[in-house]
Amino acid sequence: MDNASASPASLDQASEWLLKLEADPAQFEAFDQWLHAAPEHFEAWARVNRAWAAMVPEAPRLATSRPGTSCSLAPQPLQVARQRRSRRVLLAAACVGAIAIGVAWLGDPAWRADYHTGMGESRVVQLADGSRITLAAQTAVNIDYQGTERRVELVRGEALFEVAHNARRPFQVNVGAASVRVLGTVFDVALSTAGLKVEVREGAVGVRATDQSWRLAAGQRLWLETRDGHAQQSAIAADEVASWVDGQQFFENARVSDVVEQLRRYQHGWIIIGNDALGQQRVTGLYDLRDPPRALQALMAALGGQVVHYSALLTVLEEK
Amino acid sequence: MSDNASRLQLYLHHRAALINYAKAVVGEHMLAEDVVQDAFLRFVEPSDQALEQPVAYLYRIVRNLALDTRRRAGTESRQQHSPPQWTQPGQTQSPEQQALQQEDLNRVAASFARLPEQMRVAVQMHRLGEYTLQQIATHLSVSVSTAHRLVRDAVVRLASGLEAEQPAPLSQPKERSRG
Repeated sequence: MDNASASPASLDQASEWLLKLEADPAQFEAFDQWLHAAPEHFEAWARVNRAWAAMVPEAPRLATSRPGTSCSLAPQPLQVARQRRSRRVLLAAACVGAIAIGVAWLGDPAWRADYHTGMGESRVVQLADGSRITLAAQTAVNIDYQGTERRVELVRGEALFEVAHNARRPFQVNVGAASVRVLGTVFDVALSTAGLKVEVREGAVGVRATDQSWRLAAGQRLWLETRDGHAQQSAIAADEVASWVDGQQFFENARVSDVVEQLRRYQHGWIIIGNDALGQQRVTGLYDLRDPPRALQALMAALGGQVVHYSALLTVLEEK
Repeated sequence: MSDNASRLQLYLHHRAALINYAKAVVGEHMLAEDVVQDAFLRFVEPSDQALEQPVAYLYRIVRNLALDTRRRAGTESRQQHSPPQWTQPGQTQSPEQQALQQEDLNRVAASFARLPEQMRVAVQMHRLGEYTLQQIATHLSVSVSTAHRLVRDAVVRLASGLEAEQPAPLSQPKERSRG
């Protein structure tokens, strides 16, 4: 594979070309020559375009709503959904596998379908065994009920699991390298940039991550930090588990950046934290996810900061 | 499969770039997306030999398909253009791809917060507000070439915050076997 890294100079040139081509597509041939002149130009061009695409937060959802995007077959063969340490391999295999198997899968979504939600959306998925999964906004799960175990993969986001008891068929949620295993219970799993959170409302669950394991009973929560793998166990009132289902979210001693990450799933456009120190501050409170502008005001009021709306698409949190 | 896996990974890394590349030829974003999707299917067609320059090869497929599309557009009305049957509604992006895009979005948003004020406003106006460089120059009271430089440099900074393509961990054994 061409694995050239992009030098600052080639990133400069790629960015220049991005603007030039946009203004005058007729320069395509000259651009094409530049592109092929060095392997690192391909890399630089790829990077500026990924940044460019990522700048419009709606892009993924727009793409979702129309056909023709890459790897767009929803039902995926399940063998593949089982290897998950390496998401890239999984992703690759899932797509390639789906394409290979092709149309046959389209007629048979049934229990192999994936479920996901968009911005500000939630969704209840009723499973064949009577279990129920409620997806928070911008959440994606894969479901595999094929084998002797009931398996769900939380690809991203947060979900509340209400699992029908079946001692002979354990229910397992896989999240990256971690897994949560139960016989029947109600619990919430949330994956964010900062870490993984598991909260139990009823029953008990076992959590495994790398070489450690924990047992959580009702009213307990576990937080696994992504950065250093640090684990923290604490108590939570059972009725506060998954309060987001009712549009409210309780945060206890949470970083501003975590609260904002959650709110981003409910507001179109960008919410930017003006500086890192502000993002690291801790807050405790109940925020209304159905009204992100108000939640942001409340958040900043508590810290003496302010909310600045640069445009309908851009909100910046700043210190006063 | 492992060769296909690395091809797919490579494709995803370059996808946005390929779409903009094709767009310069075919003119419309949606048309460019179709071209790139089509190119991907050809790119992963089984072949006997390993490619020496897979990226250049992928670009060549896109280039040829884009030129074909442009030629066809001259003789055929837009309505007749339709994507392959299997891409018809009912499909969505895979959750994995969405997650990948979400990662880019998070990184870009983080870099964005660190941009100097003027740069931030310039790139935001251009990308999100679709203002011309002239309009941005007027708004910021700077020259057009300065506005151009602000947007260009902002894109460079945002792009620098993204991870480079990583080699596919092909040699890694499967972590988990079935059952």
